[in-house]
Amino acid sequence: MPMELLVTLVLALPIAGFGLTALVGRRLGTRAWIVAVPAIVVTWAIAMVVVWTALSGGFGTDGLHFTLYQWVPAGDFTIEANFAVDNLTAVLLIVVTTVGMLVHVYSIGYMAHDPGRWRFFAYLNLFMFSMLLLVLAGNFMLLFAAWELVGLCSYLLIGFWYPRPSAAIAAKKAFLANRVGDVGFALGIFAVWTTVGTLNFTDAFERLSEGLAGGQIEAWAITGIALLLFCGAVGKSAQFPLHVWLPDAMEGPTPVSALIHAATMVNAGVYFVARANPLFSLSPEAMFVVAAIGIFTAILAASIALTQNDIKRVLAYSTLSQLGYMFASLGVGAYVAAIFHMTAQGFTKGLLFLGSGSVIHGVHEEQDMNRMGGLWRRMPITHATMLVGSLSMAGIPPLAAFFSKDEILGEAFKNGFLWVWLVGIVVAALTAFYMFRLMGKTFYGPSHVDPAVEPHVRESPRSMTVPLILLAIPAALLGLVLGLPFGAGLIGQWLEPIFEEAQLNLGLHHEPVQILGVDGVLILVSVAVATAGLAVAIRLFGFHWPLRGDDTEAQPERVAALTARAPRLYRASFRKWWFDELNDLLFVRLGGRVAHFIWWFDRAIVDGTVNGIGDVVQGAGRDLRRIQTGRVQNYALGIAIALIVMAGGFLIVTAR
Amino acid sequence: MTVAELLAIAPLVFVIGLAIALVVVDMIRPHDDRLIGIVAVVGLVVGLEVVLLANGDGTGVFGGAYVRDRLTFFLDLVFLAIALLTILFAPDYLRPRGLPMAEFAATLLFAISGAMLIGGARDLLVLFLGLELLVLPGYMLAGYAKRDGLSTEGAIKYFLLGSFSSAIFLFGLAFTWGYTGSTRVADVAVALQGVTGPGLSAGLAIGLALLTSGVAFKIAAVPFHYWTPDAYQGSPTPVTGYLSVGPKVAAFALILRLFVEALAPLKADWVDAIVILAAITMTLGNLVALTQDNIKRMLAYSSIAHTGYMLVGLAAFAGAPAGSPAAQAGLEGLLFYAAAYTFMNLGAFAVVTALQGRTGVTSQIATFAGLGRRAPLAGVLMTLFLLSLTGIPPTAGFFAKAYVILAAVQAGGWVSVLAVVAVLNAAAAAFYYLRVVVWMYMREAPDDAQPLTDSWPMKAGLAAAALGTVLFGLVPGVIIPTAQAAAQALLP
Amino acid sequence: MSQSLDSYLALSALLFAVGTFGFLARRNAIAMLMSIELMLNAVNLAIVAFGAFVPSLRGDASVIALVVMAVAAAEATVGLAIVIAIYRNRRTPLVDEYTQMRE
Repeated sequence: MPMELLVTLVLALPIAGFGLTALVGRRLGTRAWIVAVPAIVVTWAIAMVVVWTALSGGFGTDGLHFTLYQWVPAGDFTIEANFAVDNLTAVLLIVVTTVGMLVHVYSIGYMAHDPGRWRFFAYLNLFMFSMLLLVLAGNFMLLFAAWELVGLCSYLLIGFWYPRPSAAIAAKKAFLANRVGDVGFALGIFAVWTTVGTLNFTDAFERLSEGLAGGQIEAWAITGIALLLFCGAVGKSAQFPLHVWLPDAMEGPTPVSALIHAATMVNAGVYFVARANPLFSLSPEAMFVVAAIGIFTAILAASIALTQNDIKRVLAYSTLSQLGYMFASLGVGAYVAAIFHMTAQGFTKGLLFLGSGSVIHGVHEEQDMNRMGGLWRRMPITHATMLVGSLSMAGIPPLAAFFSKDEILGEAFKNGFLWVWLVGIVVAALTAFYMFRLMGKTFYGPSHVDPAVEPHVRESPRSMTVPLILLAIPAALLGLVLGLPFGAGLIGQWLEPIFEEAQLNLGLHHEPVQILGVDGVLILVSVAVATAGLAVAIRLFGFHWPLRGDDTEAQPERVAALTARAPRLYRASFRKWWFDELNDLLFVRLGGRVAHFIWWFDRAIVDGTVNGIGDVVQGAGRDLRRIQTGRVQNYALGIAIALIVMAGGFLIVTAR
Repeated sequence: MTVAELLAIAPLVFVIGLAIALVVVDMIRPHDDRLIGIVAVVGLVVGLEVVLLANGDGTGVFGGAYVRDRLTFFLDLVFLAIALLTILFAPDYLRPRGLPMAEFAATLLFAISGAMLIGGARDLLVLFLGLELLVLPGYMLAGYAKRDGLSTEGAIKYFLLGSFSSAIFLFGLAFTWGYTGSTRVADVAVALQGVTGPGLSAGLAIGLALLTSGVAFKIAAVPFHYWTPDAYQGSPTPVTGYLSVGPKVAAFALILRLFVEALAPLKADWVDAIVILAAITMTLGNLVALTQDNIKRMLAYSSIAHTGYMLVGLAAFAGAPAGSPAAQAGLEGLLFYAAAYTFMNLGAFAVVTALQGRTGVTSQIATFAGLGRRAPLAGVLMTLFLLSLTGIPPTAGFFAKAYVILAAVQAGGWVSVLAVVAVLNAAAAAFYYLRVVVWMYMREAPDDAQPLTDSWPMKAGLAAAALGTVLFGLVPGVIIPTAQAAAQALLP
Repeated sequence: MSQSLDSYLALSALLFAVGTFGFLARRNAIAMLMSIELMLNAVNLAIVAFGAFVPSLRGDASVIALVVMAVAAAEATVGLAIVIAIYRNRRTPLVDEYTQMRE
């Protein structure tokens, strides 16, 4: 079967599923998933064939390029609906279709009692189509179309439970932040077109680099274009200062959080910067900005995640932080590592979100971790899979995110970005800490579940647990399969040809990994800090040792004492736990203070500014509408004055 | 007259004949709205055939005062589409309110014939005649619900200000004629060669200012837009739909014939005015639209904003060097925009009309509450039209915006700044369009919500509008070559 | 010769300005309509003046002037009809009382 047809089918099936579900979904009742889910399962199967062909070299190094039809035939302004499948696309396809498929299956159970389920599945299919279009697009215009469509789906799905005012507000905020980024993105695309006269990725990047080499294009123009386009990535991937929408986006149903706001759409910005690597690598300034914004977002979000009590918010801030890692990685030229981390994070975070959804479902729609605890007995599968995800996220070998995170940190160090590495190490420690704080508060320690709900807490249905198990497999093994041996794993073999030009532009060369030298030390350091963070969290929030079968008790009183600055602090802790207390002091009290301040800054200043823009615009509109007084005389006077001004203007222009 | 000449004026004559025929049919069988509708729709479909048959080979008629070139061809298609869509969804509004269909359809067609006259006019006097033929029936339509205070109030405001601006425009026309010595568009252009810049006499400068103000009023550009919100809100909804596209596209046709053909040699002098008008028009239109609670009034301000986007295309033409690709792209963008806007905006008004199938249903935005659940199809279609008006790809509105903005970027200079203003505006506009979507999908319907009308003409009209909106977005190739040929006909 | 053309044009401009002033100052719809007629007549004066002083324009001038008169008449007809319609609804010809729709 020709590959072009298969790729077209990958796009056609989800949109057909959307159309059918939107049309007849309401009549399907509880079986609203009957079209949507199989459509995505088949899409996944087809995508896997495409991925297999691509990764086994079936399309050559340049990948498969084909044009479906000529989209805009307008002389100069010609745009084709063309698609490109290379190894980068293939890796993205794996994440998008696999997580997408599992989330669809999971949603059958999760949304079973929601009367709006047909709408939900229709939107979800539309999102899959848009996201796949985004990944497969071969030119800027098509990418922009998909870019807007995923934003629209995200808006609709965040606001899915619209009777909650918070959901509607969150949807609006997501839309607003994305619009701000998209303005820059659109301007960047226009700038590309005026500079090189084409919007095809391959041609545009080629001409930009030739133009720079030949002197027709100034260096500042390249930087400007790259930064404008980066605005779009900042909005979509929720980087500082447009990150405010992502935590609020958790108002959407949990499968949506897993699919859109953790595993796929938020990665679009990372994907785009990676796709545009020939452009970004031409401008060291742009690379610096990418790295700086990335690592700043990483530490900012991680520090906020320390003190959040809503289980989904912790995960949302964690996602922000990991996305920051990826941008930092892109900024230091570690493209492969960034995509690797994106893949690992996609599966892991998808797993964690679905797990949190299972927990929330189990405790009857409660999201506050202070009202959970001790759930590991009741929900063994959810617990086990989430433990795998948390260990991976924390960077504990040999789980997936360990390999990718380690590669990012190692590359940052070796490419001379010591500051990125330093901040990155701190973030790694914080990540381990807050992940196990989440685990402790949710699964271990004493139960704070509502007594009325307590007896009914049980494991979620199979349609929810099976996807969890299926996601736990890549979250556990992906790193081993793709990342070993260090620096020469499969992922490197797949992706390095794509980023060859960028590596050349940046003057980076691939050195063999010295496991007994600098690389080994770096790995040890990152594992050490992760373990430290994890250990502190376990001490404070409890743990159930799976193999030993005994428990480390949670010490909520200490956490409370520390955070509340209780005077009894000394008596309880001085003799045995003073080391822990120091850690507590650093991590919980001091860290808590800083984190609280950052959280406040984020809410009051950054968020306030974003909302302020909206308010100013609204206010201007309200003032301007007063011009329309309703009186004809006033209108006529306005016209007469405008006429006089215009006549004066023309006289001045012509007398010039 | 040769056969070619007869064919050249055939569409125009046909539409006037159809209007008269409607009056005659109404005299023979009074109050038979169904028959009138059938005659009008069949007639307009035949009219489209006549336009296709007449094509646009550049034949001049009446000594060159009227010409049927590719631009006339393109505009005629758009005008007939406007008439057809309006007539398809009008009966559902008129019938329950006891407003006669025959006079409505006939008056509308007379107005359309005026628009078609403008589209092919190559003579200043014919341009003025066409303009008056366009706007006089427009005033009558605005006040069509003559027992309704709002309708007559909108009509008198529209009429007084419209006549005022017509006088201003005519004064400018007289000056241009007096100083160039001809009413023929081509001769005016020749006479103006080389007089641009400091050589331009004060009389011509004043004339230019009067003409610019006059057309700025007709396209509803800020600060000449005051009539728009009141006339749109007051008029019967199908009339509002017509007013939002018909006179606007026709006035842009006037601009193409007058400014782009006759006054092209002076374009360096008028480009600044257009750039400023475009910037303030889209900004004010969008800002005020944000605060509106009446959907017709909101769409009125939105239509002001769309005037601004179309002016961006004109500014790109005027700002780019003569003969450059950007100049042509600007005109193409303007024409594509006009066609796309026709379908998406009339579609939106068709849904508003369907909602008002019973008397007493207001056009407050709250009537859209829960529409997505009450009438899923109407909800989906309205969402489509609104997304297109916002400019979300891959709808027609997205390409229309991209087209004019790209042309503006390409034109360079100040016009490129206009592109940035347009992008910012498009971003802001999303809010008030999506507010309607929020009302439709995120609010519960009131208990006393009236059902929507679903007559066959309404369905056909909605289908046609949706088809245009989707088709021009997914396969813009179906119309771009026609728009290109039309733009080329304007350039020497 | 051209000196006197300019004076006719100046008179026409003055008349136009008077018409504009009337349009802005009067509140009665009928008076506003009359002001518009005045403005159109001012234009006609300019057209006729051009025709009288510039030989090449002589032929066109009379045609244009006639067309403008016809248009003015049509406009007055439509205008009066609308004024009557709104007078029936509101019982007043004063346009500054027609302010149900604004902002």
